[in-house]
Amino acid sequence: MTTQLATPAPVFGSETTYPIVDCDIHPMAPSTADFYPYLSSAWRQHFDERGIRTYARARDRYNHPADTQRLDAYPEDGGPAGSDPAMTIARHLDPFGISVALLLPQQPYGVTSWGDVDAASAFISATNDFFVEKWVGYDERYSLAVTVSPHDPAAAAAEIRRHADTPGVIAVQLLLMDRMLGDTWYDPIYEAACEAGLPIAMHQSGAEGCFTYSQGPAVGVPRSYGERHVVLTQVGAANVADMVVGGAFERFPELKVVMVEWGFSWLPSLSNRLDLFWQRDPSAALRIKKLPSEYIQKHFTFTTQPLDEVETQADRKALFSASGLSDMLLFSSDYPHYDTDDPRFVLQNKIPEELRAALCYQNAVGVFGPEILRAVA
Amino acid sequence: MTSERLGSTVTADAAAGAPGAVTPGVADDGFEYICELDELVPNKIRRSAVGGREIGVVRTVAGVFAIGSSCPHQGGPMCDGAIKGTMEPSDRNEYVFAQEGEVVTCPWHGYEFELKTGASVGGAILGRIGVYQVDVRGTAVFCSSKRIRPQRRRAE
Ligand code: FES
Repeated sequence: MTTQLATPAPVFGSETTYPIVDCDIHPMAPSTADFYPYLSSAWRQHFDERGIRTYARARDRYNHPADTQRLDAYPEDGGPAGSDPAMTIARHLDPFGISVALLLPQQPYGVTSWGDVDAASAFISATNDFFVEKWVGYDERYSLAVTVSPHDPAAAAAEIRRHADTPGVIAVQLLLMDRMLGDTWYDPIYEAACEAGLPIAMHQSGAEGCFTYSQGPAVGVPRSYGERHVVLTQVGAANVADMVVGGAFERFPELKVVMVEWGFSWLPSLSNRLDLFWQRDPSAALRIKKLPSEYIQKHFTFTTQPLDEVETQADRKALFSASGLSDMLLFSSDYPHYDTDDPRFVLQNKIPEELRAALCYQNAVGVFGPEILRAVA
Repeated sequence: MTSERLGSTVTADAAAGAPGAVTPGVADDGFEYICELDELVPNKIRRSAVGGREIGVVRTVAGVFAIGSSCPHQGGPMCDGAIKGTMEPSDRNEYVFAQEGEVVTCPWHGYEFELKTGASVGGAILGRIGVYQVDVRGTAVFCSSKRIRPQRRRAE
């Protein structure tokens, strides 16, 4: 079904409007049973007997004080927040005139805690098929990052190739386990992504710091959900550094990586320090041939939510002023999560006017290709 | 015939639907009829139009309250918020839960606001939600569209 694009609401507070590509929206299936039609009968039997863990964060370690979902995003007739594609359109896409919604399904995140490699691959494939049919097939604004896990890189590469030509699939959502992203373990995945012309989207799964083979924030175990939430950016930053220094972009010059919800205000400092390290001791990073910041600039983009809540104009200016940043940021809302950035509020009040076109769609077109605007006439 | 004011406890008479029902509409003093008291499901915020603006009316263990529908943080819809109490600042390892039914949390980022004053709990943010006078008259709930302004601190 193709829905008529709603006339964009005055999101920008001016006459100027741009298409908005929202690079972080989480769809859910109403229940795990909804994935069953996409599983073989043998796997259905397997999961019937053993259950399916779709939740990655150890809830009893980092319990949220209220709810990790927006309370207004729960469908009235039940089901999890974000489980009704029509409601996401009515509450989020239409009111803000969002032209493209990059869907990052969450139910596959639970497999980061699974040991069974084959079960993980089978379940993830089923979730991909579900979201292609029920969401991407529902409205042209919905675009999917198909999920793959690092359990079995060959299986993950096969899954990417299976969806290389699926209309509406615009990225690969790669889950993170123990190995950092610069590890050659991921090469089959990167190779398949480059071959398919799909960028890698990296979003935290919730498993960070919860299991022996999940990466945790630096040094120790945070005390609470809030403390962990604040320091989670370290995992993203460490993986950016690891990909660069590990030479992933020398091996895959076409590879693009979208870092979703890891923040970006730490980036200027990280780039600067990496460059300094490289200049002083290039032989410590034999896999790279140029300044780390050049790889970052060429291969990475970062989504805006949750935007640092700066209060003064000077701080706001500083947040966006680092060189090259304007080409690396993508707007995102994280609907329907509790730490959502309201598009109208953020675009009007927080993102400098001169960056709006770049952040709303130009940078996204650069990463995902012009075909993502398929719903825009 | 004002039987109670904002923030006071609902009287047994009123809660039981004592005689003295008031005709729906706008009363002489500008208060508008919302609904019957027993139509207010405890802790469920009822969206109402008062004086042309959206106001949420809610009955909790602490009384009947009326709040503005927009959060001062990013504009979250307060009528979808949750009624709670809050943890008061306390000594280490002493958790003191208080103000049950006196706090509403925003459905988005979860900031807490006092139902009586609209102020952010603990001063977490500067902005406040709108709060309005509510009157339970007999069995009927009335609400004013005039915002209760925060009391200014008197200069010492
Ligand atoms: S919009 Fe209400 S807490 Fe953010």
